[in-house]
Amino acid sequence: MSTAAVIMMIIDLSLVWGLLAIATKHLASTDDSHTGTLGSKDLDDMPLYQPESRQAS
Amino acid sequence: MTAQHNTRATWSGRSMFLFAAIGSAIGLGNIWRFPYIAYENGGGAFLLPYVVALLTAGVPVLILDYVLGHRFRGSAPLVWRRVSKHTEMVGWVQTIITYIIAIYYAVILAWSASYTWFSVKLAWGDDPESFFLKNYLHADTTSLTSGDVIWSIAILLAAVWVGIIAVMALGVRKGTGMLSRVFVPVLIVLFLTLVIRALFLEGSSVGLDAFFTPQWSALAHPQVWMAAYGQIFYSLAIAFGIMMTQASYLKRRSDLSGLGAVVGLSNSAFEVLAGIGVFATLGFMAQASQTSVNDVASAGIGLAFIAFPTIINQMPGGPIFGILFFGSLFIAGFTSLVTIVEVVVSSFQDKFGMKRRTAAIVVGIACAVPSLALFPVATGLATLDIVDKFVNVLGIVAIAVISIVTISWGLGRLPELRGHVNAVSSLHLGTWWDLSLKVLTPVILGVTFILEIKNLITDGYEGYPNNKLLVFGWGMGIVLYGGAFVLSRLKWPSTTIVDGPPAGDFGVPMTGRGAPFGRHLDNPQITPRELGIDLAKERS
Repeated sequence: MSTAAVIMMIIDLSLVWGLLAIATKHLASTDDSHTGTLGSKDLDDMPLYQPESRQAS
Repeated sequence: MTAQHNTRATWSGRSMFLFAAIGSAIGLGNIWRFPYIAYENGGGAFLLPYVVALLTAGVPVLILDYVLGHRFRGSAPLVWRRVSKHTEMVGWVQTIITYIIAIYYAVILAWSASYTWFSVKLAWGDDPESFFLKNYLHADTTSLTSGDVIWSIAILLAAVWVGIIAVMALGVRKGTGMLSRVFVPVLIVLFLTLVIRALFLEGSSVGLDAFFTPQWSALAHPQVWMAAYGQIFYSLAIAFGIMMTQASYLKRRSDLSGLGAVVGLSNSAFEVLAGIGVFATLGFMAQASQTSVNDVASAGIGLAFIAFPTIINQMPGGPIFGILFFGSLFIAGFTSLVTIVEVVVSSFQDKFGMKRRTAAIVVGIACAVPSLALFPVATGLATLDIVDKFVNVLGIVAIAVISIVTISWGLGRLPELRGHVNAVSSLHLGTWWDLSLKVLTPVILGVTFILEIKNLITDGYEGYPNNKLLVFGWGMGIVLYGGAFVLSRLKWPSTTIVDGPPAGDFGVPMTGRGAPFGRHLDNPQITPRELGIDLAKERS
């Protein structure tokens, strides 16, 4: 294999598999019930629909 | 009126969803399309436009599918009905596309199963091309239809459909979920074994050299960038209901953007691996036949059922390699087919109020009958090729543009959907997401669609006769949009909530046009706990 091909193979594999490893590690470190702007709010204690939702029709 | 609690099935957890979504995304295209597309469009340099396409269009559209399914919690037609009373037809077009794809996709699994067995004794002999086209398929590319049934394929195809119906009837967790949990790791192990074996073949470095040597000048060509966007788009199975349906089974608190990133990148990681396996093998073939990789490189059915058997004939331990390759092809296809059929089953369950088992049997038979009538016959290969081009290429691109333009420009719902993703996700979306969906993706897909149509009108397709193109190609447009129009006129069951997200708006009010939310409630500001709805089942 040429040097250029070897370098591209290493870059290509590192990029895609590296990004996958980062994304997987990130997902594993999060807890569904606490993520996002909702934080640890319980959906059952929130109004089903916001007032604006009814007005927007 | 009080709310009707939505008791839609859910995955048992993140891992089950991930296996199902990855099983769906990793299909035949990853193995037999990506390597050739990359090789033809810049080799090692292709990864630059490919990753750009993944991050700027693939993952954004994947997340759009996820948020639609998650917020509106239904099959594709129900999701689109809940988005707006005028858009249900979009969901039906997506459902009919998956129905048609399922009908022909299954026969490739039957071929793969046959070839796994053929590999044991290299049954294709010294001339795999002649064996495949003449002895195995009795291929007739000119007649409209044929009564020349190939029973060996028909029996295997029937078995594939029985298997699919059984998995569907078992439901989301015990059927699709459990199947993916077993088959996806098996596929990865099988394919890794194949890749490692391929790397030790004589001449493998020649193939890898051809595959990875960067042709930087290719990046200046717009068609290379379009090829990258096209590959990402087809391979991720986005914008035609599959990912939307899967996300509708997620629990209410699910990290949508985090899951989208993992699924999108898993698909690409597998594709790069497939590129290494395929080109290492093609390098062996080029060296053995003393020719260049360019002369042996191919894609699709030709690569799998003609080029690979030719290579297997020449390599030491060929039968084992054949079993690994065709076994991988079968498993990748089967896990994808399950999620394709799931779209149709889910639509029938929702629209006609069917029980899971009934919907699985009805849809399974409705798929199996045309599948058995049209594909295990002498004209099957040509019919498959034409339907695939018009539905899986043109049809998907068209409905992707329509659905994305509808939700972004037509209804102005992207800020609301972005708010929903950010409400439950760890990776927050910025306005770049809106920009990708409003401008970048529709423009690229729109240009792709126009160019494809122009080529088909001026050049026809692969020399097939016009009557065949008219019936199995252009005629599919009538089936898709006529069928969708009729189905969208039918009424929903009276207990189905059709005017917005059925399980609340997650604290994210509607900001665009569409159906009014919460019309089914006397007091929409009431909380689920005050309403006495037991949502514990969804969180279990």
